Amino acid sequence: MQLPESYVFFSQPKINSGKNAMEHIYVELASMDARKPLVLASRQVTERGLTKKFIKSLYDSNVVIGSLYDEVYPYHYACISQLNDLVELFKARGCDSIIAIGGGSVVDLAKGVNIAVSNSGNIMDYAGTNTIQKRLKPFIYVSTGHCGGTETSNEAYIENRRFVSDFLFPDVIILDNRMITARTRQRAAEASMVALTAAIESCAVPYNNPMNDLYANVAINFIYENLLGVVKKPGSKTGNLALANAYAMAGISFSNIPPGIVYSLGIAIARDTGLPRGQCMGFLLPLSLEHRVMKNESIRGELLYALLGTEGYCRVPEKERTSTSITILRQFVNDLGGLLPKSLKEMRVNKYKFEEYARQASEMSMKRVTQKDCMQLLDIAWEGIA
Amino acid sequence: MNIDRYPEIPPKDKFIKKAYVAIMLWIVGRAMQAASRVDPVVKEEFSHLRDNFLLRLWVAPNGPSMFVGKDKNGKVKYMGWNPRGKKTTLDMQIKGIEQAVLMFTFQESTAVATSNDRLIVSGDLDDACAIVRILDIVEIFLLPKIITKLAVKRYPKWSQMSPLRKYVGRVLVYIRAFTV
Repeated sequence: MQLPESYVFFSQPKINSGKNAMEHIYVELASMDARKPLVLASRQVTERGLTKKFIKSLYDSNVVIGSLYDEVYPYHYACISQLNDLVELFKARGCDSIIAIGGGSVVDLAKGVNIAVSNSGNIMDYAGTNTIQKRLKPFIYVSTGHCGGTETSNEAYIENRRFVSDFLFPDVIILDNRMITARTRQRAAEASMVALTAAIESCAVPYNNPMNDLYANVAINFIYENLLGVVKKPGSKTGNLALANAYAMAGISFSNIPPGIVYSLGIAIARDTGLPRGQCMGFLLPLSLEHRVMKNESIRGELLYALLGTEGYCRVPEKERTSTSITILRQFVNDLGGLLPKSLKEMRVNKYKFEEYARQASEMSMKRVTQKDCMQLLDIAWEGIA
Repeated sequence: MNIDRYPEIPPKDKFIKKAYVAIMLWIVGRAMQAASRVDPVVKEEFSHLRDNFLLRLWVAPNGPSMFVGKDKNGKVKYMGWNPRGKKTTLDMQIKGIEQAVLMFTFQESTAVATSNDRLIVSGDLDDACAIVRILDIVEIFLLPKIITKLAVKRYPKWSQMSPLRKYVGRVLVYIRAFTV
């Protein structure tokens, strides 16, 4: 690994993973001078008894839960009316911090509430990149394993608009094995694909960022080694905890680079069709790497290192590292069986909208990817993986 | 939105766990005092600590605590649980009652608990290391091998602690801890 001439890396969250991690929440809140959080969760989280476990973890502490709002729909987008209600609740109860339990829109909503209560004016004024100028209230994210894959990143989607700011990182990420429970194989595959895309696109770029690579490589390795196990046995505690760790690291890694082609296209397609992001990104990922090889663009050998570890990496000759990593990745996606679609045709995406998707993806990636590349990839993805 | 549907939730107390940890702290405190009189290694460890040494081992934020320190004559003494009027030189804080239960039910050894970020220590690191070593020896005296193995970093071999020292020490520590 070479030291680049210059690089920038930022990571706000403290990760607390493992047994009794939730019992550390009151210490973390106290260290941020907070003791009355607003807790957001989805109805599913309550139905599975996880909010009860959370409340019990705060017994015998100085933390009073300002309010527990558990009516967020986890796989819908965060909407402004619900956000306004929560801002009112936050202020009425005199809360000083926010805790989100779950994933997807719960976290988006929590980040939205945090923007609204920490800043003045209309929340939609803060949409876009780096529009938030001051530190927000303490925010703790408690993972339940059911997530979209980028909860730990510096972005949020509210009313389908993207908010990006380093202030949107959670302050603390709690990965407690009591909270990370079994989920459907489909959800595990989709969330993992989002995280895998984020991690690979943040480390497979031609220039390297050593800190980013560390996070991304661990995330890729955890997903590669544990996803198939979790798909076979969704109740696996160790596997689910490893995946939750991978999502956390992928989110942080992804926040330090502009989105890549697969992530941007995945978001654009998901936004338009309402399909889960993971489904769109899953099969696009190996195709995009192959597309890059076809264009004689380099893919760093470290990708193979992340997938196979030191021994596997050393066994493959230097010239074959790129092709081997793509083959492994393709095989990995195939091994997921029928959990992910294999082409855009199968997903019934409208072909005439490709140009619009390409334009949106190019804009989201801050022109890092061109519309032409996006169109080429979409054309290949129409027929998909053979 | 009807705000009353989402009331405040104050934290409840965990009385049973607190009582269990309080009893364990009392036993450990008394046993440390007894071991300092009975066992030459514990005596040696304490002799290197400063004259006004006072340890507070407690459970945050408002859980049970114990004080063990040297009195005016330099003798090691269990000094109860009340912090009033005491000036500690070494403060070992267990982050919460659940973490304390993990430690005192021997699911986690002191070393593992420290590495899992369950303890906050204020004071000299030398003193803290000495106390961890003393706690290990005290646990060896107090508990049968099968449990102690879970609680200490390394269970001593015969060459490190002779059976005579162990069993005689165990009897004397129990007698002194619960009687004197």
